[in-house]
Amino acid sequence: MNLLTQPVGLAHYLVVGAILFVAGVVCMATKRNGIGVLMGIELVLNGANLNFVAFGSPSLRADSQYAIGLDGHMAALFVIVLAAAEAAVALAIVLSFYRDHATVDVDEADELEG
Amino acid sequence: MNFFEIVENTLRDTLGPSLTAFRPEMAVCATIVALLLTRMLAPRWKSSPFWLTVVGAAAALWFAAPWHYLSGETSERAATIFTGMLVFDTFSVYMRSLLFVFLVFFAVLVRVTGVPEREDLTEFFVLVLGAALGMCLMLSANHMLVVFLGIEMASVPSYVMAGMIRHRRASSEAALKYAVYGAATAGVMLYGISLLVGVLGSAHLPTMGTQLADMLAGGHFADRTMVLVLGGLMVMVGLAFKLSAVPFHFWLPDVFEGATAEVAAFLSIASKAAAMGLLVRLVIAFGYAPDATQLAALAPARQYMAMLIGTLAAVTCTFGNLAAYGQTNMKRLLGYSTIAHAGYMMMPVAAMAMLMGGEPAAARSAVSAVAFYVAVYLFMNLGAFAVVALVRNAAGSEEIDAYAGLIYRSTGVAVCFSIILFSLVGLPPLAGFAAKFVAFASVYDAGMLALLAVGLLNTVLSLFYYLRVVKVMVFDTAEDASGAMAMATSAGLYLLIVTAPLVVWGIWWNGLYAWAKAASAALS
Amino acid sequence: MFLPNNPLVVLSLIVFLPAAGALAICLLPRGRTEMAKLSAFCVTVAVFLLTVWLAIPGTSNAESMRFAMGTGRMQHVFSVDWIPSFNIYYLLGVDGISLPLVVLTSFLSMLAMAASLKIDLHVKAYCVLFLLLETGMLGVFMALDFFLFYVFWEVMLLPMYFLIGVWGGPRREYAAIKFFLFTLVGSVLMLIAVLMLYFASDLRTLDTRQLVACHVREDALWQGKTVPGATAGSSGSAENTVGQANRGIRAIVLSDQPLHTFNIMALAEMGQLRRSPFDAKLLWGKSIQWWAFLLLLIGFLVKVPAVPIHTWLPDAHVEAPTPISMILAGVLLKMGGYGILRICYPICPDAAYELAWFVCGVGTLSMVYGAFAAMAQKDFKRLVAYSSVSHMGYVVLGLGVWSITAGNLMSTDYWNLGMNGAMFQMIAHGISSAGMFFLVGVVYDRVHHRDLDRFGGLFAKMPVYSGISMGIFFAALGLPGLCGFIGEVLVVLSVWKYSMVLAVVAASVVILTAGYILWTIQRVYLGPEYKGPHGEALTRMTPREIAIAAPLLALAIILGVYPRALLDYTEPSVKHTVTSLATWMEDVKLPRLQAAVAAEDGKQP
Repeated sequence: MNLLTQPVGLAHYLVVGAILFVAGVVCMATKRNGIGVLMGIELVLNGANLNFVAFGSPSLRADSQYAIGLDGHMAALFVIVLAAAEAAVALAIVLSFYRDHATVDVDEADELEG
Repeated sequence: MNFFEIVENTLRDTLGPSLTAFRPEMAVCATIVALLLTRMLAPRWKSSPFWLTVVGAAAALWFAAPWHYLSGETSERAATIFTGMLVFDTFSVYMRSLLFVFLVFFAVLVRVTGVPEREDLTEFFVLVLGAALGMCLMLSANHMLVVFLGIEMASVPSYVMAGMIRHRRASSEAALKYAVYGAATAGVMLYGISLLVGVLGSAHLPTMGTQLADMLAGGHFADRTMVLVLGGLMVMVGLAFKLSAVPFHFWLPDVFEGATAEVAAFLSIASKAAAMGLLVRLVIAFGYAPDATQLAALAPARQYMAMLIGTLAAVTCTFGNLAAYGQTNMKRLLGYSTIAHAGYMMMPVAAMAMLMGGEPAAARSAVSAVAFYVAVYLFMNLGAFAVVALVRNAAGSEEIDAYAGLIYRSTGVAVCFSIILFSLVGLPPLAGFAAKFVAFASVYDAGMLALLAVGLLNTVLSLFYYLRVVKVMVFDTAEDASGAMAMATSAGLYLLIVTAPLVVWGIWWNGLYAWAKAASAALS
Repeated sequence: MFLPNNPLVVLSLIVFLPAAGALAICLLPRGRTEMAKLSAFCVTVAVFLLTVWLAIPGTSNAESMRFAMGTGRMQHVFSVDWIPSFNIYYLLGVDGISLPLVVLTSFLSMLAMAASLKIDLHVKAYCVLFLLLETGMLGVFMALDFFLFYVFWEVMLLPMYFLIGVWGGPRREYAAIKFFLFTLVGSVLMLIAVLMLYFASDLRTLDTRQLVACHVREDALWQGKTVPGATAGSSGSAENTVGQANRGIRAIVLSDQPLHTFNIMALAEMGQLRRSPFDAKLLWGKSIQWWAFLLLLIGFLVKVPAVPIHTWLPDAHVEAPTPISMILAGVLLKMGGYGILRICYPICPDAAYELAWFVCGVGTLSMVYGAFAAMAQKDFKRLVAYSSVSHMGYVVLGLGVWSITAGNLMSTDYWNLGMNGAMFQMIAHGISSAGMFFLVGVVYDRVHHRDLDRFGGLFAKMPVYSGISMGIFFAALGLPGLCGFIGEVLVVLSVWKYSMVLAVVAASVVILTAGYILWTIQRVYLGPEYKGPHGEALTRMTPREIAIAAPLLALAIILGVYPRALLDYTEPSVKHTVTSLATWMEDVKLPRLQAAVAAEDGKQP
């Protein structure tokens, strides 16, 4: 099946979600800057969110009995809120790290022998 | 059904059974509010956070009422509350009760050892209670959204707690590592959840199970295998992080070393117990269906989970024990010991996945083994970290060398710590043995002989590093023979109370095991 | 009589009196060391008197706590709920096999405590640990519930570790951890076997008579299980189940689920059934009982100890303080033999039959190796330790031979002989080795070395000591008229029927034994004047030392001259065990073997 020739459906959303996810994971794995890592996490969360929204829509799916409806939308909303909370805490922690170590480079966090 | 009917039904459900079953959590919420208000209204009352937390946790325990639900007289089946978002059964009663018991003990520990800084006490307890609330949700989750919500609610306050001591380099580094790894694995888990939910067409756990069974039975499954396996693996990543299972364990020793011993105790006990309960719930959700044909159809899912969890358990256990050898810092050593014990605890879960299909009674035994292990583990690790905190206060060090000749300087502490350590090894007549015995019995019953062999081999391996600590305490003499270690009476008493269950349950574990059995009665 | 005639009270008192004493000593105020020692000694004396009282022969009468002679059954058995949710019961009892070992344990504990009176380092802790150790040892010999047995077995581990590790010699830490490690590995293997047997067991396979004989509790037969009523259709609701309580034994036949048990007697009955539940295949074509036997055997052989898993013993003995060496050699080693006799063979007869060659081989190897190794030692204590390895080899050999029939002759005489010999050898070795370790300790206390080459001429300086020593050493040697002789002769005689080669080897080990013991006596006691260090310290034995050594020597002589004193106790029980196994052999194994032969013959042409 060639996605480019199809009308926009569930698969397209999932592909975008997957791209976001992979981009996020790569970002988490390669960034040395603490803020950058947090951005990667946001990307992953949003990739999942896109999935939720897409899965929730009955009109996008051929097998509409499997659509999760409102559950998906609710999940997306909750995740947005959670992501914000998590980001707030994580940023505060990065800030406190910066104050003690004068850097936000996560590779500098190596004083506790691993 | 029109709008008003829906509202009315929801209201009736919420105000009736749901809120009744939710009273323990409400008590925790009320305590949080009370803590914040007291801080505002009566700032001079310095010990208010402690008292409020103890009272709040005790009230939650009172509302959870394990003596009522687990006495065997009430035969209440599982009930779903809040329109199916949460499940209320004996397992959640048991596990939440343990959590509240732990909260009481934990608050007293913080009081006895006097950490953290005084003015932060309110915030500290608010974070603790907030995390506990998340753990309650994890333990009674019946919906994927609640699963994720619970994990996040438990994790986010924990990140802050790890970095609670301000202006200490190790502390902020620990918090950073914990937060980054935690958020990353949570993200991966969420993506896995979204895949599972999307493919199975529901986020309600029992419905997901039946859908999976239908798919497996109906055969229109082949094209989705990959997605399901991948989704399952991703969910497992998030769980493995909370369980500190290899290969997602690396944060734990660092965080333990950087955080205070009290916070480490919280992370190693409460967090682990909640994750274990959640793991049990998820395995049941995807491996069990009340209908016989559906149950049979789920065999591949059970096989997959049993292999995955069994392998993780074996690797985790072995790695934890091997890595513990070279440690010189007590908290790191206990961190690796925590990892190893997570492995032991996962073994009966794997056995349960194996047994659920054919032998429901044996599968329930496996669940009770997990529940029993968690209860014993609670006191073992609480005692161990209490000793670490007490020795830190008295000797100012958390290195194992600081324990040299402890038996001559503070006999009671050394004896209690020895009992705790031998219980961690699993030697009779201590409770750790009973816990390992029931766990290994389930593993054998499931026919997982290789896993059993790994578990027993690890028991022998673990002997060395626990015994090394005992050796340092008992056989070695301190270089700077600093005389008797000043130890408050309350500290000694606390340690005694925490250690006593290990001996009492070791000799007579029928009562607790009967409760654990009652806890598993409602499942499957 | 001042004691109630209730086995629950008496046996529990024997087992837990030391533990209670330990608790009391814990609560003594700081610094009362003499009082701690004294109370510990009093406790051991009290326990010894209790066990002796238990051993007074009498008629078999349910009302009396007298020990009934002439019956091989378990006596004074009682069963109390312990952990009913896991089918675990507090089940104790004694018979002719365990009672002598119980008495030996309490006797040696008393003497060892007397020998400990001059310990002056951390006295309270020492007494507490010592008493806990005694509880563990007594419990092992009386427990009839496999789980309980295992718990007692492990309970000894910790006190022993600390007793060696804190009060031991220069390399005590190494010796203590080595002891701990070996024993733990052994008991971990045992744990697997416990689980195997538990999950394979099914009380439904036994008939009512057997269930009653095994003291299976009636409530064990229905508790926690759904018992369908006698009439069809009724599911085991709560009140139905309670209603079945009175029908207990009957309900078992009807239960729809396997009823697992830890009851050692019931497990033995199951193991000897025609269609034993333990015959199921487990791994690599071997049955459950084959694996269980092997694992249990290794677990017990570690304790015996048999070559090649004996290496912890010399180290532990050399480093342990004298009283602990006495306990270690006198009692702990016997647990291995007792376990093989009580658990391995009755529960797994088929595997025992198959692996008899292995047991005999290990026994003989231990005998020979131990004797040669003893000969090569320079350290007095190490020599005695290796002599223990050698002597315990007789026990293993005697037990191993027991399952063999010569040809198709179903004579049980030689089985009885070998097993009685093993039993006798255990007791005799308990007496002689404890004595030897004590005597080595006596001289070590004076001259602070154990180098055999630097001894000599002690006879001149310590005549009483040397006299007692020679008596005890001759008892270990197996001189006729002393206790060591009887066991060795019985074992060698029984081996003759099994394999002449082994018998010749076993007999020639006696010569080796005589060799190293006589050589030792010559090097230590005879010869010219003592020239080693601390010669001035060689004073005569103190009355306390004589009081400890003399009873041992007296017992060695009594048992040597009048072995019936012991055999009267052991023989009926041994005979009971052997007869039941012979019956099994006749009814179950021989037809199986003949069928196998017939099948083989059928294939040939």
